[in-house]
Amino acid sequence: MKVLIADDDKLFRELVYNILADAGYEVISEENGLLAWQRIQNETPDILVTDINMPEMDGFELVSKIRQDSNLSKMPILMLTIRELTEDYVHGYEYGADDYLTKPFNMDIFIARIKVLERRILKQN
Amino acid sequence: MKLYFVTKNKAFFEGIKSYLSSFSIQFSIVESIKDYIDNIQGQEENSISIIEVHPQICSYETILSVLEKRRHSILITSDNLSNSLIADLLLKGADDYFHINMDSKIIFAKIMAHIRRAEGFKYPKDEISTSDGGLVLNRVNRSATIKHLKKTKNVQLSSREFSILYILVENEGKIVRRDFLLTNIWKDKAEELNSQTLDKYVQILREKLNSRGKRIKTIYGMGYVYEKSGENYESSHS
Repeated sequence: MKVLIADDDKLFRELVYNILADAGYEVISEENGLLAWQRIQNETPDILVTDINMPEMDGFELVSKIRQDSNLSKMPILMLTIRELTEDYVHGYEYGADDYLTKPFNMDIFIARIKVLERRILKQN
Repeated sequence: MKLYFVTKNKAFFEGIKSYLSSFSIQFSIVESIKDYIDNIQGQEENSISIIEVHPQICSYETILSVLEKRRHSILITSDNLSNSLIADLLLKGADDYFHINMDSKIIFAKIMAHIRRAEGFKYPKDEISTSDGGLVLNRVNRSATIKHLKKTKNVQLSSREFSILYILVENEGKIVRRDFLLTNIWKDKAEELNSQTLDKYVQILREKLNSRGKRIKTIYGMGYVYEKSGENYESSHS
């Protein structure tokens, strides 16, 4: 199960990378939405974990592009962000996020929510 | 689509129900997990259940046994579960968890995400335009652009102005009822609004869109329509 992390914060990206790798996932990462979008075209990860505030392309646009693409539209997506206003949550879900967590996060909850997304993929297959 | 609620919190249920009143969804509420188990059997297909974990409604042990047998999406809510119990429920089959006192707009958005998934990933398009191509709306950057011959003009709209216009253009040529606009844009605040609030927003839209704004027609007693090029609504009044 391959997870792509899109986050412009290097330290945070590495933290999430290590948490997912320790949980047994194959992990790849990119530092902005545009690079993540390009990586998705080539490698088609199973799950995307994306920040919202990123240069080049933000998380809302990235999620929206995935949902508009018929080959990728079912990819499970978790938004992981410092943005905690109600409207941010609502926009995240409206653009197509399956789940939305704010930083800082509880590691057990984060992994459990990734497992929910993983279960959904296995169910689809 | 059917939504099952297992809760004693009627205000919570009624709040979510009012948010979703514009959609083709059936609702069922029971106050005990035993009644729920009796009702849900054979009805799981095309259903989503929202179960409150609470000593008087559904114990932690009972919800685990429900999750073990589940054949449809189950969302858990509560007002007092620890992070470790929440993680455990998610690992054991719950599709989502939210605090029962979470902002109802967020709960609504979460439930809608589950409904969209259950119904096959129908997301609104990023960019839509009127049938003559003269007005283009982009949902991602929430921009409105008027196009005339080779000229383009960006129109600055507030978030609500954009949302109203997006729904009208998405339904170009069809009457959009006032209550649909109010519920979709103002959500749970819709009932508190002065009846003229929506009219004022539409008036501002007409002014900002100049000649394009004249296409927004009022249909007395019903709502509004974004008129297609060349069509007329005799009963309209703008």
